[in-house]
Amino acid sequence: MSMLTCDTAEALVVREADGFLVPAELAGLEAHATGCEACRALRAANLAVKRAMALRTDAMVPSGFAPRVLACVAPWPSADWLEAVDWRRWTEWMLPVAAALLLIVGVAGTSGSRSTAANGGLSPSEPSATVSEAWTLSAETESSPATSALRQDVSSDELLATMLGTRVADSEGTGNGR
Amino acid sequence: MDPDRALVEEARRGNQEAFADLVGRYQVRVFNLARALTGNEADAAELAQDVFVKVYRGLGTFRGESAFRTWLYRVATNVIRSHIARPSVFRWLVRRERNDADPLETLAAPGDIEARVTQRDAIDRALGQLPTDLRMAVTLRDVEGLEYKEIAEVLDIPIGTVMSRIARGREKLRPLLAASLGWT
Ligand SMILES: [Zn+2]
Repeated sequence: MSMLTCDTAEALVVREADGFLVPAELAGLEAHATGCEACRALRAANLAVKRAMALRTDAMVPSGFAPRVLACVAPWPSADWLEAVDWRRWTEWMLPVAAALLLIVGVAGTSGSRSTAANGGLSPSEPSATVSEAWTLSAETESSPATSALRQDVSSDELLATMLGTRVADSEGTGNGR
Repeated sequence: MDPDRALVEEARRGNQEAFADLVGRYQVRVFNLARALTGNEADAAELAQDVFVKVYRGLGTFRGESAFRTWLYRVATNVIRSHIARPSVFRWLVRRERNDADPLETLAAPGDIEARVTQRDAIDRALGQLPTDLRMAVTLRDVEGLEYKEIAEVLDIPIGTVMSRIARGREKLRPLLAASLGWT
């Protein structure tokens, strides 16, 4: 009466232990197992092992596991203060300052060489005068050539990305995540 | 529809929080897979970490042809398989260097927990005596609860082979479990 092969019975044995057999399949398996010693043993083992494996509870993940993983993949050493800073505002505020510093370097360089030629040396008052000039310039004319050039070529997002060592898309993705 | 798809997309774009969520979602699964397949807590922790780092670095190549979970299990079984394939002397040396005590000897958990830990150790010890292919199939089914089709994808074998490995694996496991669990 048994039309099942041992191969077919094998799959049924597994599915029976897992609780997936429909009555017709079960009847077929039982008929086969009655006449097949090997499948009978296989069936008993599968049912017993399935019950025993249900005793296995999950092991707890060691403490600190996730932070260790994240530290391994962080593009930047993981630091909470990085997240606390509002980088967008910070870089916008820093742009004129950076421009002013560039100007100082530029102006100090030219005036320095000029005064060196005229007086044979730098007078002590000159550098501080140059600094205050530069500050006034950047404070009064919001779009000084240096800052507007910076604004055109480098958006604050890109500057931010460069500073953080990430791509623009990265920082946007982080923003959306919150 | 892959339930992890949105997180995976975010993580792929470099969103660390999204990746942290994926780790949170799957750390117990990956750790337990490694624990069951190696029988060692410290090895399992190291392997699980290795798996997540590989997954993170491979996110760019993950095309979403399978579910993220399936792909994660594939990475995990590959990492663990290489570990198991290493000569045991080498594994023993690494373990000595790390100086971790044998978890089977350092159980100090009371009552219920102790019983569970003991059962888990006994089961994992029995699993550890199965040939790797059978161990993988039985563990993915009976510890991780994966469907046959997903196991076939993870191990990259036909579904008929999955059924056969589970059936034979359980058959071989029975006397090992009997000895390990102290069945009469
Ligand atoms: Zn048979």
